[in-house]
Amino acid sequence: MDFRLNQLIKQVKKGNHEAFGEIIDYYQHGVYQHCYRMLGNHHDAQEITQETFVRAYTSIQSFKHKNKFAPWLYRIATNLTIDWMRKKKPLHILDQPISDDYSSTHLDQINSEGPTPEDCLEIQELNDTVQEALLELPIKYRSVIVLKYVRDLSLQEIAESLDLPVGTVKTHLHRGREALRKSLVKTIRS
Amino acid sequence: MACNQIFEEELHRLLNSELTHDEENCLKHHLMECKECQTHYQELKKVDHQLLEIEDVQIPNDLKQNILNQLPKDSKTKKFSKSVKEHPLISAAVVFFIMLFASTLSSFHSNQQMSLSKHEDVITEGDRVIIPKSAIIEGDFIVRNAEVVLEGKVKGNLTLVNSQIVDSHNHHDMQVASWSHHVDGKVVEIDQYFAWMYHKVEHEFKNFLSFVTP
Repeated sequence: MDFRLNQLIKQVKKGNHEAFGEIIDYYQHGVYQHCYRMLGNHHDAQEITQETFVRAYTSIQSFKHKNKFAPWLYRIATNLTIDWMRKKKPLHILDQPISDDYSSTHLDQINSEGPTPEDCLEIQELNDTVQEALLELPIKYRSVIVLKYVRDLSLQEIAESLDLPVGTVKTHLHRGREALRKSLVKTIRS
Repeated sequence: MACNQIFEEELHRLLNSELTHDEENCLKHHLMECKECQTHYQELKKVDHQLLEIEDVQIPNDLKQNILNQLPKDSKTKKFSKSVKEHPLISAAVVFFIMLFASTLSSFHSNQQMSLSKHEDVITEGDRVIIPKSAIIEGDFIVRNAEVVLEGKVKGNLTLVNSQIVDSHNHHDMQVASWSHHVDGKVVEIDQYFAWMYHKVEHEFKNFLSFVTP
């Protein structure tokens, strides 16, 4: 992949949209997961994922050959999500929960394909609890946790993505886990 | 809780699989004895597990197409500036050579007038410069676009730009060697070089023009 990726990046630097399409194919899933776990809803996740790739395309000249592509891309995505969270409190028309005790959204209903939620309700509930806890984390801990667990990046790669020393990444990871542990204890007790 | 704080760091390192074998054994011993740390570890392990178990969400179908639609289209000028940015050294060299050619060309055209280094004893007659027998020029002497009648002495170098030495008596060109008793330094003739340079520059410039304009 590395060799192919370098070829593609060279093509993209010359303005080749098709080559960029291949890069999108390879990374869109990961970037979308990252944005979704950072932002907590599909509408914003799609917006930021799209903006991440457009930004990557327009600033591809600043990508240096010696760097790794994935951390560079996740860095753009993380910065954009952070900016987004700071600047806007966007409208959640389709993403509002239908009611307090039902943890699905309008968008989920529109998009629902395949088996009914009953089968995977348990997993769904677990995911939602974790997602809620994630969204309560401070952004700096959340980005480390998401990159580590959802994207499965190494500590070194996370450090590159967030432009932090590896030591700080570890501290954030530990504090993030501790915070999640505390909220887990709370949900168990309640 | 004091115990937790000491071992908390260790527990996280265990989750990161950063502990050495000895450290791990030591920690496990402690976990067996300490109920509080054990609970702490169990809870952390559960968080770790839950995070790993998070399922990927489905991505929107139109994601890629939306991105491709938003990409800026490259205009021709942008492509040009892009290639300039990609090869800054080559671009700089090209600009440098164009300037060099242009300046050589213009200086050649503008300097058709006669000029010479100033000296009291030298006499000018039309486009002819006469250095009389009595004259002794101490430094270098430069003549442009003139005929030089050399009878006196030049102690430095004599530079002839588009000029030639004529003998006032015989009126035909003489060999360089025979002037040497008049000139202590070197006699340098530049007209050949300039003619060649002019020819070369003009040739290259025409090539360049035919290359640029299809």
